[in-house]
Amino acid sequence: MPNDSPSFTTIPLDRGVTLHHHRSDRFKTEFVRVFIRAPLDDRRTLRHLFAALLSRGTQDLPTRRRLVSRLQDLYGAGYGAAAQSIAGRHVLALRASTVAGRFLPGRPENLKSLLAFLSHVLSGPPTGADGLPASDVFEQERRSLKRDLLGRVNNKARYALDRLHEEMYAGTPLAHPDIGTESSIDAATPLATLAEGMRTFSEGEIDVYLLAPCTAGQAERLVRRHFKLAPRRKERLRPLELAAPRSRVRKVREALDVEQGRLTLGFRIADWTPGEGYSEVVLANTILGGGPASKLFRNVREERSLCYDINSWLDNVSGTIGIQAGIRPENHDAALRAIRAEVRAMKRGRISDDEVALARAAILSSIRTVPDSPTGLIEFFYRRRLMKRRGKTLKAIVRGFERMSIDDIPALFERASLDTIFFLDREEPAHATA
Amino acid sequence: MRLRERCDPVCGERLFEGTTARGLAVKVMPRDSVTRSCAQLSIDYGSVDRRFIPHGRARPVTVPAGIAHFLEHKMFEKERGDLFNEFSRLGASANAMTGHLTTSYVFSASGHFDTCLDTLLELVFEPHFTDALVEKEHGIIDEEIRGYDDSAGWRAYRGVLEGLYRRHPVREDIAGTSETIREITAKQLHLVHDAFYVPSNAVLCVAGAVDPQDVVARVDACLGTDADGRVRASTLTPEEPAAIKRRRTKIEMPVALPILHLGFKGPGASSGQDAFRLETAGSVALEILLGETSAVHEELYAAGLIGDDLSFTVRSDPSMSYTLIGGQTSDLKELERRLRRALDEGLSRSLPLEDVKRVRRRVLGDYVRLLDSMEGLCGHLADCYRSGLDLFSLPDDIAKMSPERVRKYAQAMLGADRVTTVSVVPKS
Repeated sequence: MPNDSPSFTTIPLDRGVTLHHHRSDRFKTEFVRVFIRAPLDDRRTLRHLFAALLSRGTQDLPTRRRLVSRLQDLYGAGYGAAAQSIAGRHVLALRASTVAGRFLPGRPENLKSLLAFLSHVLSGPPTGADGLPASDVFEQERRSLKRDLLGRVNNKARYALDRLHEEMYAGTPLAHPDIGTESSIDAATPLATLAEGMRTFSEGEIDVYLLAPCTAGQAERLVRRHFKLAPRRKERLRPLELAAPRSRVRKVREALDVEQGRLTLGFRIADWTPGEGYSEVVLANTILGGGPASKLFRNVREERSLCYDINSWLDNVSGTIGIQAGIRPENHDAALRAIRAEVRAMKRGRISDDEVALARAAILSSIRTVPDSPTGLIEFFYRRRLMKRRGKTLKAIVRGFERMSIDDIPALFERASLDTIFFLDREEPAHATA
Repeated sequence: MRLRERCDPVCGERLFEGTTARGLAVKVMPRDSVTRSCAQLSIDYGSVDRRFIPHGRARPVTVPAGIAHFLEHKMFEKERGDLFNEFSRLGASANAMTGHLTTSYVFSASGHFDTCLDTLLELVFEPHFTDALVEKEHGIIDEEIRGYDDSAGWRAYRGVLEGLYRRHPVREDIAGTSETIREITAKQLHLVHDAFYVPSNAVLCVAGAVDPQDVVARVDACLGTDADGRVRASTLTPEEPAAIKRRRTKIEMPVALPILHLGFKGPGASSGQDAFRLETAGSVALEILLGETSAVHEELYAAGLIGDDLSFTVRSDPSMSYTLIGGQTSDLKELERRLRRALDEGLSRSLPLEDVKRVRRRVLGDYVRLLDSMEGLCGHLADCYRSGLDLFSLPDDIAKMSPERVRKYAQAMLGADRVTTVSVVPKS
């Protein structure tokens, strides 16, 4: 590895405000990320709307048109604002990047221009004389968010997954898509959106990541000069609200005019502590359904030709194992049996040395190449920070995986029980007879 | 093989290129600062190559639609096992893509590059097809096709190509249909492999932590150094009339909001350079006239006629050129009317110089960013090779784009008399 253990220098700027700097000239682009934490609560819709307003303009560039023109002037600088659930929180995330000036005509100081731009973003979206976002702009973003919500059905795999969550986590915040529901979008107002967004800006714990060839001291001076971030309380993480596991498997079938059925299974792991057993979880998921060398891919797709796509995921915040496959509806029973057989094999420890070797090789490769992607590097370390797995270098993480045994995997799956099956089925033709 | 070394004019990145004795073009961009290495082997063979004259025969044959994609799937299986697993064992991730014009095989690895490269060359040039393996693949690809059939965006895209083209095989789905893939046999796969999967019809592009001389030595060791003189079989592409096939297509399926796609049939490019100009000018013009910096986009968004998903695709090649504009809308008719009016008016006068300059700056930024992406570099090097372009001349070509030149090429691509409209509407 050219830099076999890249990590960020952590510089506390104030209470609850931390700069993470990684000095590197290996990229031709310089990156800034600002993450601001909020709880995973029922105000997620407001934060999504707030992020949408931040994408529409700033106080000095009050329209999207002017904002995008400015970014294009900076040689196509990247910028985006989003709200997203990460590691049991709701995070307002600003991302920005620019080509390093040393590669451009006239050597412009693009990083300074970008930080100045972001400082305007951090002062909030454009507002009118009444101190509120313009009502027409707000309505446009409300409409756009609702469009995203309704448009989920256009992507059948995503839709089936959202429906699984709705059924599996009914009555808890995780049941709804992150952007909310039609009623939460309808209920949002410009005042509530602005208030929630600005409150998050001023109260949420902030992490600024800067990846550029400057020194840590220069990075600190730059960020202090451009960002006026007041001290705030350290985050107090609320426990995730989860529904009690079911005693019987819930089976839900929904019919649409589709060619392909989407079989989606959700398993709950009993007595789960958020963040528990990170390495085991990653290895177990890779063995089960994390790629073309996984059990599900090899045995359900390649051996039995039951599907084209099949994968699994393991959420170590909520303690959920999910599996989804695109299948021919008439193969539902055969596919379900085949998938459950692979989960049973995990429970019984029927995992071959080859399966472990393939999974381990895939994981180690993905970790070793994290430094090749600036965004991957930042997100990898921020996620680890949120999961309280600090201090380890990539080299140490790689060593951990190399030494890890699979002894704990059967016990992990032994605690997993099938909770919900959601099947997006093909509609029977109206003229069909029984 | 002697490699020629050149430097890119903006950042000084080095490119080594040459052709092996077996005729395989090789392009390598070494980079000391990254961990991963990527390789892409692209064959000049895609889904449109349906009718061709096989080696040693006098008469052309026609093979089933979808065979190029089917072949790509089956290349991974060898007598010794599935090469996907071989790449995984080496800690590499592999993939393959079949398009209308090319088929590409790629891997990305953080170690064992030499063994991965050997595996890639074996994957592409050593076929192993049996009827049993072909039979097994039918179900998998059938499910892939069904998955695409449920995608509204894909159906709209397909609808545009079917509406624009009367005879050209680009109007057929890359993966074929459930029926056509059932006709595919192991014998046919051998036939097309023999016709197109020859080193002189391929380019190997590598970027990352590699030594160019080692790459070449490895290729020579795998493929041999005796020239075999084999060349690509000749494809017979039907003559395509300038007129489109049909003006309107309506597709009903489960979608939340209607989707509008406008497709424009462009002229066949006279060369790869010409195709590049058509593509670039079309993209720049659309960005200026309909992109987020345009008054039109602002008005359409404010009126609720578009969301944030309005997109443009411009493709040009000597045998076909098309432009696609699409997105979700609340009012199909009104959006179509306003988009077409914006294009008519916008292309009837000179484009503002300031807008062109701004987009040129953005495109230059994109070029520099591309040099940081190993996968992106491999893909661009392969595309440029196929079109006879020099990746390093792109900044200069972009700088030379004048408003009038952009308008001239864009007018050729966006002719108002060669438009097809596809609407995807919620099923009633």
